[in-house]
Amino acid sequence: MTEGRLPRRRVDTAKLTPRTFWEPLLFLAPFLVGLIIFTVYPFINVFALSFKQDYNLLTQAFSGYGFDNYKTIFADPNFANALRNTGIYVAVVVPISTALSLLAASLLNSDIRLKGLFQTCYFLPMVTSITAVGLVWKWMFNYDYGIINYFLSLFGVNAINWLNNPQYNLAALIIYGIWDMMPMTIILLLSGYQNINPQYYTAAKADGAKTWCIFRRITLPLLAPTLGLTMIINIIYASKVFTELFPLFNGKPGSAYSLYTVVYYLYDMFYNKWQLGPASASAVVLFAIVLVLTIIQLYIQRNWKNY
Amino acid sequence: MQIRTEHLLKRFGDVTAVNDLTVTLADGKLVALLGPSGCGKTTILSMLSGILPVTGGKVFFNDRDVTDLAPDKRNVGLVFQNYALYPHMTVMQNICFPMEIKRVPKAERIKRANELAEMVHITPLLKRKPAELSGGQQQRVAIARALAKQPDILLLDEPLSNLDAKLRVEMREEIRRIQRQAKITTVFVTHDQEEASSIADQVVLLKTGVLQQQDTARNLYDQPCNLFVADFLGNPPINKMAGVIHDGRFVFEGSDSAIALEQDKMPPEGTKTVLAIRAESVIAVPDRPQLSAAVVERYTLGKDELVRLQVGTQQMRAYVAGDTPAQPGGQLAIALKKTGVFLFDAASGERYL
Repeated sequence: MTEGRLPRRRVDTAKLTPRTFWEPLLFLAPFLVGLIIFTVYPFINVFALSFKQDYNLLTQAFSGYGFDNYKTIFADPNFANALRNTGIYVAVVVPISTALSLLAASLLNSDIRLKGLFQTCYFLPMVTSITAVGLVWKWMFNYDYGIINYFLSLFGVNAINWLNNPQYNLAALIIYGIWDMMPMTIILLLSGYQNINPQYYTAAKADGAKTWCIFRRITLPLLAPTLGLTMIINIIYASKVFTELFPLFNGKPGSAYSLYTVVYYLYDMFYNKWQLGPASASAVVLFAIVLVLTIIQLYIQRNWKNY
Repeated sequence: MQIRTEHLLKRFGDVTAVNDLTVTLADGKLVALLGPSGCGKTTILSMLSGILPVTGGKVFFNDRDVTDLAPDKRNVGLVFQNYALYPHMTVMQNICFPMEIKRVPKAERIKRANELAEMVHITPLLKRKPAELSGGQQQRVAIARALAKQPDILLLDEPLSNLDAKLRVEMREEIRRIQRQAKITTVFVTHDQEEASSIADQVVLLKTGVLQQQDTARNLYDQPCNLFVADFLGNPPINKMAGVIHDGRFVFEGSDSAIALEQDKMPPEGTKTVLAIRAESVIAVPDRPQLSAAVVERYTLGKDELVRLQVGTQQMRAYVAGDTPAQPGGQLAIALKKTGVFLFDAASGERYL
């Protein structure tokens, strides 16, 4: 063979004819139309809107493009409050919920009795209306009759006014959020568990490895890619915390208007105050934050994919 | 270490996978558990390792009863059919893992891993992950990992079935070499008679969970105790000619041909029997022909020629020399050698000696 000369293979590019372009497009059209109208167009519009100054919703008139909306929201203490609350919420809910889900998933994956019953219980939050569930939680958080305070009283802890004392509002939201996030995380982690060949466990057990050692040295590393994925999904999901807030505090951001979250702020600006510009700007800020977090997470996760 | 089983029994529901197995596997030998799929050989291996509990009977290592011991208390090294190398660990980490669990100091772990890597010829691969290895290399790593905790016994489950034909021959020789070098009692499971015959000191041949014969591969081939054993070993498969005993001679079914057999004990008159003849036990154009057969087809296989012969309504294969004037359509006078010809009872498959 002559050195360094490989035969150049011609890449057969499919020719774009009406048959190969328009016809497939026709089949995709129903989906694409929906996507463009309800996702792509609003997405672009929000960006544009966030830079339009003195925008008037009725006349659609605006004075020009600029950063006024961003200046407005960053000067607004409610927005700062929203960022802080959302940040704490994400930072606390995601790790705790993921850890609890990991525990639940490993139990569900092992041979335990009443497995089916446990599975149903864990997946309950997914199949029930979030508003209905929210109302149940509201009752559980009740100062006088709530089961949570009753449970705490068993340990001699004084009753906590979860929903009406602003000091505890965020804690209540976080507890509810942790529970709410678990089922989806458990499903994802269980699918990760299914991909681990049980032979590894047989091999490790035959070598005398104990349960914790097997979990730490074999299960966890093999589960890491799935774990990374669930973390990304959970961070994005938790950053958008809003529907959890709504039923707990009768549609208000906490008992003393102190529990703004970014999405609640957005909703408030748009729906209650008709301030479309700042509302759009806060949406863009949220988008930027989630994007940065995801990029960081993806970068870390690349090093987690270890085989 | 010597392995001994006494009346070993394993049932899965109504199915008896291993039935009353009593064998002794000698210390330091390479033993093959051979049999068709579903004969319980892997089940036996799993019971030796302790992965599967026994339904009945006992397992002894030397004189120690290990029947109820957990796998990690038996000090056996296991090589799984698909190797089960931990995909997230390097080859080095894989080999070190069993020693880590045994809390072998790190310096010693690495020293021993290097020795093992050298022994199985994978030293240049120590930093790689299993996904970056070929099947044969993974096999070597799996053996090294199994040997890492200095087991008394090495158990291999179908060690060669995941390899391609060429690699299989190479790896089976490697297993033989490594076993000799490590001087460790080794049991491997296979369904391939050639694999078992070629490297094993002892072959344990099983059928539907029942021990058929345990001996060297040579004796199994030359002195099969029943028709199943005779049929299972050898390629091409042994010729099984049906017939009856008449006047102290074997009369081929569907033919007038009969031959005299040199048997110590002849079955009684009229017994339905099977005469099993190895393809190489047929002498073409002998001084004293015993039988005339029609030549059906002739195949050239390098050194030898294989001919397909017809005796009455039955066909048989025979090796003949390249210059034998046997052409399809013609007749060939044949005689049978004294070796490689066995008479079995047609009903029970038991051999008449």
